Amino acid sequence: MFSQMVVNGLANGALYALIALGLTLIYGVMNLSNFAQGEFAMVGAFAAYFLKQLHMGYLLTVILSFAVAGVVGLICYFLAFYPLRRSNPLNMMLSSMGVSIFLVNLSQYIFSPTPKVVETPFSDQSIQILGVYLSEQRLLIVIVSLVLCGLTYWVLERSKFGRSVRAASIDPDTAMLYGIPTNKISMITFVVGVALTGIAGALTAPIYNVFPTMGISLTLKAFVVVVLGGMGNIVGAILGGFIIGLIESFSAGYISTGFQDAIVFTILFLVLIFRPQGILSKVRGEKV
Amino acid sequence: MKRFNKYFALLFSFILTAAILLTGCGAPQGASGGSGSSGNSSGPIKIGLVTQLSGGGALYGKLMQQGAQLAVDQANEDGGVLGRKIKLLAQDDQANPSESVKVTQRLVSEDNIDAWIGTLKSSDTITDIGITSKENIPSFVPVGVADNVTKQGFDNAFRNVANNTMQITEMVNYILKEQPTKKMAIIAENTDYGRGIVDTFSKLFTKGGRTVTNKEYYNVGTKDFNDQLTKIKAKNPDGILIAGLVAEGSLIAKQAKSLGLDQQLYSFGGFMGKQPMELGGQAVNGLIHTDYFVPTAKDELTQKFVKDFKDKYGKIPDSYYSAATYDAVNLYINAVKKAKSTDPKKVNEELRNLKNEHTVMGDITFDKEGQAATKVWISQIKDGKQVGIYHAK
Amino acid sequence: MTRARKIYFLAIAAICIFGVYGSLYLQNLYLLRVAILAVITAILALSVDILVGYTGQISLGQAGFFGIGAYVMGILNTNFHLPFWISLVFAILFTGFVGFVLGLPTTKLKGHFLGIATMGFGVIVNGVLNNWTSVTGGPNGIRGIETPYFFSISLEYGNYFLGFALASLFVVILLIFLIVHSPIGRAWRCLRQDEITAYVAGINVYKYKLIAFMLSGGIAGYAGSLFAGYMTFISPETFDLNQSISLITTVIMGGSGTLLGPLLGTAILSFVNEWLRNFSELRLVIYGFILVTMITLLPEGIYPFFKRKILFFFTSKKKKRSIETEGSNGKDVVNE
Repeated sequence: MFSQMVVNGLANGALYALIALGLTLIYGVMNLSNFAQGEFAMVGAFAAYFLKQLHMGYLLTVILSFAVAGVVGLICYFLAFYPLRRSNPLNMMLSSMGVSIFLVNLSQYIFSPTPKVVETPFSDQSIQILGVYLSEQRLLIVIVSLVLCGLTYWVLERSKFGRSVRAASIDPDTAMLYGIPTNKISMITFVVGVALTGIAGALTAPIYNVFPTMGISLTLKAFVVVVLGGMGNIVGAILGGFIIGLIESFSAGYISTGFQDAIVFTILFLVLIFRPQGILSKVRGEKV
Repeated sequence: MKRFNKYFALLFSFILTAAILLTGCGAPQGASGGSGSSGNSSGPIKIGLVTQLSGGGALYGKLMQQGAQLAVDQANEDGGVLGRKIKLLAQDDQANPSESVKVTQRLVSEDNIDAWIGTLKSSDTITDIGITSKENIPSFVPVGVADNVTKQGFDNAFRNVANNTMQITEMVNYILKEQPTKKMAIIAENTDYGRGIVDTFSKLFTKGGRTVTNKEYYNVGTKDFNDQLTKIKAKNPDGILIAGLVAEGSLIAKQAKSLGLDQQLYSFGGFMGKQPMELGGQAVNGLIHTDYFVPTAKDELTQKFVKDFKDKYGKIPDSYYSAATYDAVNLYINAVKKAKSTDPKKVNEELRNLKNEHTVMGDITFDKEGQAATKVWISQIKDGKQVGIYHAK
Repeated sequence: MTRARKIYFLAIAAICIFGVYGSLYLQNLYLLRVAILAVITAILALSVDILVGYTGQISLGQAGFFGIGAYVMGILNTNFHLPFWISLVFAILFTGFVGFVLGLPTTKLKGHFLGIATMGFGVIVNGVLNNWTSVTGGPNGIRGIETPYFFSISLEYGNYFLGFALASLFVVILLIFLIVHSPIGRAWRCLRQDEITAYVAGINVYKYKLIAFMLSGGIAGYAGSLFAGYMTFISPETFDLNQSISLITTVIMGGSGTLLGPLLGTAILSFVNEWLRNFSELRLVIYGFILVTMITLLPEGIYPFFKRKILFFFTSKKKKRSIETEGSNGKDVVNE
């Protein structure tokens, strides 16, 4: 049981890391707690479902779902977030909650609440090593998540664009003085952030099915991960994803499945009390 | 300023208290008496439907709405009842108790409904019928299966579906007689429905000399069940009972297979119809569940219902949500026809006196609590088909 | 105390009494139910406003306090057969205490972290209500809570309950008004503007934050007890994250940091919510859209916006200029 729990935790953790990665990027640059993050996973999953109906290959639909979620994200950005860019972060957060309600109910209105099944070439087969099972689809999720996380990290650390993003996230005003187009940066970051989540949605569609409310619980998990890793911290988000995945798996296994969510949040609470800056981030002095 | 505030506060609270005390004497008894306009005799006959039409449970709520709408449309095509048209008023309660009473009150006192149907959740159903019972409005419970719905002493509540205990008793009897399953693991949704099944099932099952190894819970809307299933796997049971509905249940079946759990799966009414096969694919093959509605039954009424439903909505009615709600509307219409009036008292009387009323879900007779003694049998999913395997005498 | 102010206060008192009396004449049972639930929501919104508006904190877990208040009432009333009023006192004290305990660690947090922490509080409370079946009844909830008698008047009749709820609302308004205009309120305003400055100025920041948490918790607990007494049935679904989110939305939309803002927000959102029922399936789609539009167009809140517009209309040109400059200064503070 122990080794199976570890594998479960890591497999889920990879997924959380991918969604949290988008969330933490957006938080870092826009100072926005995006409560609509999970909804973009839903958008991506629906995109995968409909593209699959057009007889596309599964991997192609996953890549295209990135684009679809990105486009929807762009529209949302201009309608709901761009007008509030100079406003209180609380207002942006509320706006994202509105976006979440809107997207969930719109997709329910258009696509009906019935869950939809997405077939993949890997669907149900499992890999079995020493009594530990892992379905091929979950393995795919782990691999793709790790690749995407690595790619994002590389772009942020090594490219010129990544340097501007980091500058904008540390101090947007100063960055602007140095000629970095912060508005454009925040737009691109938002679109990429939600599009990454869209891929997560398309990847999970075959195991979780596709339905309008699928994103809501993902948003909560992603928030826990982001806080654990330190808001805006990329490596923290990836590590945090795996940690939360493991904590969930063990708390369900050894304590109670009903209390699972409560336990995860209690741990989050403890982290906030003892290391409010997250497990990885250094304390940054407050500007007076 | 400060002194004034103190003075002001004292004065203010004094006046308020006095105001409320005074109302005890000479106030109008505004809300106390039912204005009783529900027995109106002109305009369309209104049937109120309260169910979840947004959020996670909307999947089932929509099916209820479609079934009810079909019955209403059919009645109207036949010229209505007592020369009056019928109108369905569907309201979304978001599976939230306070929303549920609000919309029920709206239906009762704003729309003056003549009959009420609802809801997805047994606990909300009880609270809502508390409101409709004040006006004695005939209230139907086609979906909520908790035992206590009909045990509240309401004269106007009628449930045309088997309750939890009836279903579970059937299932346990079947397993004890026909199945070798000695150790059962239960994975249940964390609602009154799931918790109710866990309690009753474990009681009956252990009474039969067998054991329950796990009681694992998940929240409605959960998508990943690996944690629960891993825990179940460690106890190595012979069978897994899914006390949940099809959206989560089919995922549980799928994820159990990919975790290498090949045990016999059992479940309840949620697995009727075609939907489990569509959502669960190969994984639900062999699953055994209680059944009370078969779209392919030879019965004439059922065939007509299935055909009309397919013509209208383009698909076969899955599961019993549509059928039971369809039945509820027809039960009401027939009672009104017999009573020759929509007077709630007379209609309730007619409903209570029904004897073997033929409906899509079988022959209905309500006992004095309003619970119908409907048939329950056991079916198995075999290669994409629902096959009846066990009927109790 | 100027004469105009006196008249202003007397007018408000008159409105209150008129409201309580008027509630007895509301004949429509549906509107009555909507009104009672709206009044309870308004009390909750005010409790959120203490944290969000007056103290500059965030609360995404107010449904937790609301739920605890309701459940303390439910458990004491049904399991221990304590009368409504005694349970009410316990509920308020206990939620106030929970607010204090929650405040101890969370007053050290700021902004988004505080938001997530309070959200966690809400989720934990909901998880406990849902799973501690031996005490809370789990998803079955608690049924058969007593509707109170107020000096031999049974509040079972909706009109009397509405009257009582409204009176409670006015008492809460008065309470908040008095506190906001006391030294505590001044300290709150100071630490909302700039916590570090407040700290430097010798204000015990943590103490005042704790007071805010306790007060906010207690008031929300009171609302919970009212809700339990009114519905006579409670189950965990009422006290979930959605409830917390809709509360904070109400406050921000109406205008945080004011007394009238949350009331206006509650009134508008209750009305919109009921009105949108005419759109059946598109209801929540439109609701989400309205939410986003309102927040993007009137980020400061409805009440402050109209107040500014109306005041602006009546002031002389000379004053206008000074208001304008003041306004832009205020905005900068918010941006930081």
